[in-house]
Amino acid sequence: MLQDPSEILNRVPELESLAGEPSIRRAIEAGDPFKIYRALFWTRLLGRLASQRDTLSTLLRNRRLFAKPIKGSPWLGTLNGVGATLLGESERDPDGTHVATHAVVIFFVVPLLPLGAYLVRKEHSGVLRSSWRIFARVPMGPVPWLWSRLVALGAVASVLFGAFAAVHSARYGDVRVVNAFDAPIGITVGDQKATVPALGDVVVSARVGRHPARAATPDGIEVDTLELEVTSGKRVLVWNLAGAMPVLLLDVVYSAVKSPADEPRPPPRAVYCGQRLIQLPSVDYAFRAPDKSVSMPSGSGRLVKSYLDYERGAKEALHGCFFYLVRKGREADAAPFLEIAARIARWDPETAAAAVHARLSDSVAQALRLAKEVRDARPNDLEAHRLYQATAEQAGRGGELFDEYRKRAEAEPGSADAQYLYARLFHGNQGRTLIDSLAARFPDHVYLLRASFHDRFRGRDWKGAHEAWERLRARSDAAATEMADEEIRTLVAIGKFADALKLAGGTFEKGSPLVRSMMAQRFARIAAVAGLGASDVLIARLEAEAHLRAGEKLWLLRQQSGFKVPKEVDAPGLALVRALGKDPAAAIRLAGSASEIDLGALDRGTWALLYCEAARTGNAEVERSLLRFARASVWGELEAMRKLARLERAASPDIDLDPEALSAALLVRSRNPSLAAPERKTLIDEARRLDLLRGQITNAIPAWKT
Amino acid sequence: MRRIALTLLLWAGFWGLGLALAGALLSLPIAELVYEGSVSFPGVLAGLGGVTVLGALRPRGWFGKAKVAPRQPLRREQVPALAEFVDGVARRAGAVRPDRLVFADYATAYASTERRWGIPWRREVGIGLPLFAVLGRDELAAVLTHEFGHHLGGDTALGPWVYRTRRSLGGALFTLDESSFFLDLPFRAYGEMFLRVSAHISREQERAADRRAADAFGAGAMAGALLKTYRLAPLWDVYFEAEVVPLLQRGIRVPLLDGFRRFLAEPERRTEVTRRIHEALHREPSPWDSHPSLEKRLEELGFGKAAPAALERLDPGGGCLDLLGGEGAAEDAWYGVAVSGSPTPMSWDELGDKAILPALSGALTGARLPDPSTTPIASLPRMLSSGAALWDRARADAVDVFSPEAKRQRARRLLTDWLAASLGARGFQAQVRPGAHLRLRRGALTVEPADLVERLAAGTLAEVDYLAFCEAVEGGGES
Repeated sequence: MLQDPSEILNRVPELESLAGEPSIRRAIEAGDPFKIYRALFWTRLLGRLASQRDTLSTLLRNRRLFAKPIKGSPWLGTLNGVGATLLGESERDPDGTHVATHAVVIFFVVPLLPLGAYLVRKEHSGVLRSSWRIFARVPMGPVPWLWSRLVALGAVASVLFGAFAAVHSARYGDVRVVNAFDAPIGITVGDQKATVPALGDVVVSARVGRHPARAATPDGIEVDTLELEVTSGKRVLVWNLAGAMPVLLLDVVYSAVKSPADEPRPPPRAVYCGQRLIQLPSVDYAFRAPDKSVSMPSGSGRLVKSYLDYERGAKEALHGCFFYLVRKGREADAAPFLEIAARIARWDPETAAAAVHARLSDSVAQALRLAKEVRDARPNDLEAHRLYQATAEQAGRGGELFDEYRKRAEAEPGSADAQYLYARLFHGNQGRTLIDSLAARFPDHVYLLRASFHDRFRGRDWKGAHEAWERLRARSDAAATEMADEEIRTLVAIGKFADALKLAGGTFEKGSPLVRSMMAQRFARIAAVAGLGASDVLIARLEAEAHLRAGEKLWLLRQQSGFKVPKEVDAPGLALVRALGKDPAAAIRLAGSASEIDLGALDRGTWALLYCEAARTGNAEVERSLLRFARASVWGELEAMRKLARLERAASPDIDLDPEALSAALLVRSRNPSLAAPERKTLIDEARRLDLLRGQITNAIPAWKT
Repeated sequence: MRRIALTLLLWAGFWGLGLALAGALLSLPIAELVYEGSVSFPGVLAGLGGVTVLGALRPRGWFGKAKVAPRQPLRREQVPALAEFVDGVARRAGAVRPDRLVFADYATAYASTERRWGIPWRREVGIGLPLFAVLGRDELAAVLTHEFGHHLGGDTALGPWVYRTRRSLGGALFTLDESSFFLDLPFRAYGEMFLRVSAHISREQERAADRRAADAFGAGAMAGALLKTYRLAPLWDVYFEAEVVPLLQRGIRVPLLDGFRRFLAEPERRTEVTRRIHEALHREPSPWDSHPSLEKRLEELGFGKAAPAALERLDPGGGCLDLLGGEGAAEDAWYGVAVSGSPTPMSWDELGDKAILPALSGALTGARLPDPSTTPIASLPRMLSSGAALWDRARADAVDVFSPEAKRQRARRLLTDWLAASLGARGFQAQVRPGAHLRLRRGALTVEPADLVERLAAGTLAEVDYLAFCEAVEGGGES
């Protein structure tokens, strides 16, 4: 006997004759009219009950026969054209009732997802607003049904996929690995392997937990090794290989009002130089460009978002990181990555020198070990030998060094290199004589020619220095250009102002930004010393290239070049330079509180004066601050300058110092009250004489001589 | 103990499933927010799904008052013999006597426990009137002991848990029915499992109660009661629903047991009545049945296939009606507690003319059919030929949800009533026979309008013959 819990046989008695088909019978006994409709649909589609095809078709054409009571009112309404409404009009009855499909729509009438079908009568019809009287739910037609099922399956699949992704996100965390080295580096995090491109980054997805991590170059140079605590969630975990990349955390400021184009950017919130692991709770833009615009909460005129990244495409990122650390007095933090960089670069002299310098700040023994390794790796590279010699001297191994290179020189009497390396260990007149004789013997040896010029310049043999420079230029224009600043001062010393101006102008044209700035200053001072009046031609060019705001100038450069700067002008370093010319004690106080920008902007003469005065007065804090901004060319002269200023060594004529540095040291030395007045006067006169370009040191003499 | 644990487990399982599903869906957008920093479109979908599931799980009617008024109990002073009998049975069964005795609506008996704040308050036992009419005293005692067994076994304590779970499941399925995103599927699967397991528990409870009754009053008494009840219940239920309830709805009180005897004796039952009885009697056992099949119960009582011979005929005139003071007093008591108001007493013989025919005339007035008292009955074939269209006209403003065949059947039923009313207007007297079609008689002329209309529609009665019959009727003939 056929069970009929929904009593549909009362409404559709024809079903009784169709119940021979098992699927229809099951549907009737399940008591769900919609299932019955679908069973009829599949029966007809599959060609079953062929003899009753007409009955099947008749019933399928009338979905209202399978009506079910409505469960509350279906949601109808749209917002900006998106929402749900009743669409279509089928199986219309003379009484006005028809079947409509309830669907999610966009643009008011474009269906996205059919939700159901209803037996309705339209009560009111308008362009954008209609009302219906809803009587019952009816099964959806085959197409909307299939459509809704496909969409639903897609939704279920997307939810499952989303769940999988969320579980994966919960179990795995991303590690961003950043490589500042100029070579691809293979990394291993747990069981994950990847290669980080040179000067690039890569993201590794690792299981949450603690993992050993190792980075090495393809040829086996170990770059870094540590334990990584990988976490899931929004935390940002960056493995900055050996801490070499300057990773910046910046504030991105969004403003409701358009900011002026030349508004300065806020300084970085943090610079992660020398830091191997960077862990932040969350960052708005981590290693992706910030949005150009964002929607802001109403009433808010300013929104600040965080942005973590490194300067992409920067070739010198690693060196930038090193200089940053030097300025911060953290050279030791740079030592590991510089050493690795030097190894990767096959002990490239410049990188190796930086690595040794960084090691020196922490451990002389380590620096010597490294310098020796560099020299042994590049036995024919004179720069490697020079580096080793300088480090050994710093380590107090001068005696051993002398013996070692003497033996080499004796073993290879015909080798210019061996002779040069031995001769350069001599200082004073003995060294100059030896170098000069070797330069004459080996006239094509650039290092000997350079040493010859260098020694004569330091020995204030201006004419001889100029001749040596000419010989050097004839052999190597590049090596001569490196010594341009010294040659300019030499030319001024012998009164060849026009040549000095020409050389300054020429060097300006092809120099780096730092060199261009120095040459612009030199040019102005040469013109002033020559009696032509200070010329700001090159400074004006720099100002034009800097795209300064209207009325703005490179005020510090102008001040240091001897130009008048309006009193009301304030610029980094300006107050310090102004104080320098008036009150040494005030200048030292200002140097103690000066910013990195202020100290970084000082020229060599100004810096030397302040350093020597800080050393003389025992102000270790200011001395340390200034040391961070010492230029590489004075690294070997610091000890001598310090001792001279503090009267810890005699002011003998053969002091091996740059005249400008010596000038500053002598002026400061003259300030020691223990010295007799005539000696102090002599020192001041000598300082004035050595300040060939009559710059800041000469400027300071009136205030400093007391 | 196992049944209690299983029932509570099923209850907890439903909530566990629902909350786990909602939690899983809601956790996706939260997890995305925590671990990925933003919520994706699938996360939004899952969140909406989670909220929908929670909405479907919301408690329904936990704190509202019961919508069904409690049954009126039989007072002890109203039925002293029955009260004394029940007390005796309770003593013998080792049970506490029930606090309330009530009439069940159908041919069945039940036990329940009313609770207040979760504490058992009143034990209630309900017995259907027809059981008093067919069961002997031992059989009635066995039935009562069976119900007491439910009290003693703690089954009535589990009932509310099963009921609550069913209601919550039903509510969830109602809300999620035809869910666009398959959210109903887990609940549907759990519902099937729940019904199977809870029905299994219920059948175990019934077996235990059977054993208790057999121990107290003998397996024979219990088996006899079961045999009579299984035979009686489908017949009484069809009789009660098809014949008595419509009359009660019209405020008419008829002799219940007399009508049932006539129903049992009727040789020409209506097709749908026969079908319903057949359906009830021959229903296959289902895993969802709350009671074991008769065969199983008898087998467990030790009768196996050699059960006492099935009843040849029921005699709803004896039994234990004396416990209620006889048939008349029993029916008075039943009407007193089961029916509100004061229905008009009427015998089955006077029912046709006094109630049925006037009711038919009233109903036809609203059906846009020609006046049956003035329209010639010869117009019936013409009306019949309009088939479904007749129903479309008659249904007035009601929405059309009927198939062509359903409309034709309804039209024939309408015309049956119209013909009956027409004949009534022409001096025919109506004879109501419980279970059979209405018969009209004028002198020797006897007509069953339903039969006539069916034959005319099927073509087994020629229109010429019908017109001849019409002539006889209109002409006042009696043959």
